[in-house]
Amino acid sequence: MASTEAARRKKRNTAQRERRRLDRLHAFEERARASGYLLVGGIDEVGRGPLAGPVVAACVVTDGPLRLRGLNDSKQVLREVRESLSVEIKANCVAWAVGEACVREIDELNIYWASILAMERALAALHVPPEYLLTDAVRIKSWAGPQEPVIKGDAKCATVAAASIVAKVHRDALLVALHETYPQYGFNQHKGYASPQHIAALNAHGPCAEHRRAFWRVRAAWDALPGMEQFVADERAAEETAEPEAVAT
Amino acid sequence: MNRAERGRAGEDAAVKLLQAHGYRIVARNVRLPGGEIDVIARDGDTVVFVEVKARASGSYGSAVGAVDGRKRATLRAVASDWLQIAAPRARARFDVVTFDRGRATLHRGAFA
Repeated sequence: MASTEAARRKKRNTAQRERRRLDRLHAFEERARASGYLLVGGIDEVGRGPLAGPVVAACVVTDGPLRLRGLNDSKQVLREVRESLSVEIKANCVAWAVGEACVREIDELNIYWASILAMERALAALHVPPEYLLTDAVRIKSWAGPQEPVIKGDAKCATVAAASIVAKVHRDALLVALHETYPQYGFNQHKGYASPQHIAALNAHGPCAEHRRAFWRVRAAWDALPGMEQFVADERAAEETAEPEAVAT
Repeated sequence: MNRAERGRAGEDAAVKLLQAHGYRIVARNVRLPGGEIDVIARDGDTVVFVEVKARASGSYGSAVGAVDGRKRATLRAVASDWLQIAAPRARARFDVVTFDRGRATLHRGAFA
């Protein structure tokens, strides 16, 4: 029958397209292997944008192509698929590790350097370090071995995509757990990102210890607490009058 | 008077007492997900977090002792969050106001 024949052809085409996409996804890794590096690592971070929770990095080290159907940038993959992919990635790689940087570190360093710190921790936690490292458009200065920053690496390199999936699944689980401590915000749903629900809860209940104070929305919620605005203004005024005295003595 | 009313009346009296001691009131009932601070005040350049223990009159036992370890831990956590934003370098202290037969007493530095 023509219709089933067409359906079969369509299915074959999709499968072929997926195979070709996976081939392309391994181009960077293959090039590194061609230059003599057997163990290729991909590293990526998730959670730069959210108002709460840590930033999480993961590194995945492979010695051959990770041919997992649906492997892609963590943002492009459905949650259920992501979770099963994360399990498959961990089972099929040579080594993997995650690293975190907490809210305090994000506030002190800023989110960019905190994400680098998380990546350094993931690298330090690996049992088998990679000989060649692919990153998502960042350079990790403390990493002594060869590294290649790839723009949009999480969508272009299989190992970086794999790292982004492992990191995403790990971080999501952390925020689901955080929901147990602070059920007011819906961390289990938005994972700390600035959804309308999250912002409404932030304004209604005030921020918690896991909110990033360096982020203006969180800061605004702190400033809105009773007496805070006046207090900060007084504090600033006191500092300005106190400083010349300090110079004089 | 029910519990809430007694708490409220106790807090009003505590605020008057603090003001009589020269404190400046910054905020009352600062509610955060980590816990609640009854009164935040300023005593000179020290930020003071005040817990008001409005015990029913005639009850015995130290009201300072009524601020148990768990409550202290909550207060410390919330206070440190608050300070981090408002005045990261300020000196801070925990005071408790207790009531004995309607008479308010201020305990400076009741715990650290």
